[in-house]
Amino acid sequence: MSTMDSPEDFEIARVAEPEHVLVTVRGDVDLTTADQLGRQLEAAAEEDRDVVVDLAGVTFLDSTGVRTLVDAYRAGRRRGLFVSISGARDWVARMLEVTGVAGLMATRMRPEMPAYRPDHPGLRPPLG
Amino acid sequence: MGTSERPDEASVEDDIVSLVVPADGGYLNVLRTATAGLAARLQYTTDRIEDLRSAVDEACAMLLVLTPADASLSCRFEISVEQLRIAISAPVKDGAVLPSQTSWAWHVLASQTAEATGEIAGGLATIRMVSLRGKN
Repeated sequence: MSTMDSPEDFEIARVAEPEHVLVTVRGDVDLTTADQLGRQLEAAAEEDRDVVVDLAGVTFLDSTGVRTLVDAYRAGRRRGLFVSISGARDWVARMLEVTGVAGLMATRMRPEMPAYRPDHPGLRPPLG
Repeated sequence: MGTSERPDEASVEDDIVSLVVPADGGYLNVLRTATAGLAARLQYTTDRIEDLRSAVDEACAMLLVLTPADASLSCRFEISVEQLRIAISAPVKDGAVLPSQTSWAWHVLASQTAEATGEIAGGLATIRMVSLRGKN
């Protein structure tokens, strides 16, 4: 194996918050790091609470990473949980828009906003 | 360059840049960084630099899951006045097929380049992309 398998700038932290499990991701999410993200999201869902993935520190996201997020979302829904994303910035936010994942996984642009859940009418953001 | 008043904004044309790295995911970041550097040299806007960086990553990632051990991944950038043509190729395992055109990876590639095609011939997979230089 290469000595470049574990990018040093990639980090994931998992913290139990009162309302959900918060998974904070930093660095590039690509073919080499998506598995780590997937394992952490799986472990977070094991706690049987909603999961919020904070992407504010993510500097790159490719389709491998997007697929990992969506897989976690689907696995969460099968358990009756919501896995949502928050804080994506700049180009990462655009990538999530291009792939349609921003709407699906309720990107929260501001931390104080409740997650937008398209299939959960009670939590829709106010119109206008 | 000659009489250019702004020598740093290179009048880059008809140049070819080739990068060959081990077909190992650990080098994806190297290729992304090189791509971003090249796009910046061609005066791409920030958003388009990111798009190109992403497109190259997607193409390389598609191939990396198909390559045998100890293979190399080749990235060739052909720069012309109007276009940047990119060809990324690597040997692939017997029976390997590229992802479906409906996959996310292709969707991303198509949204970030003017043209993207892929083929496998003679055990070598190649993904070709065209990026228009003047489109800012």
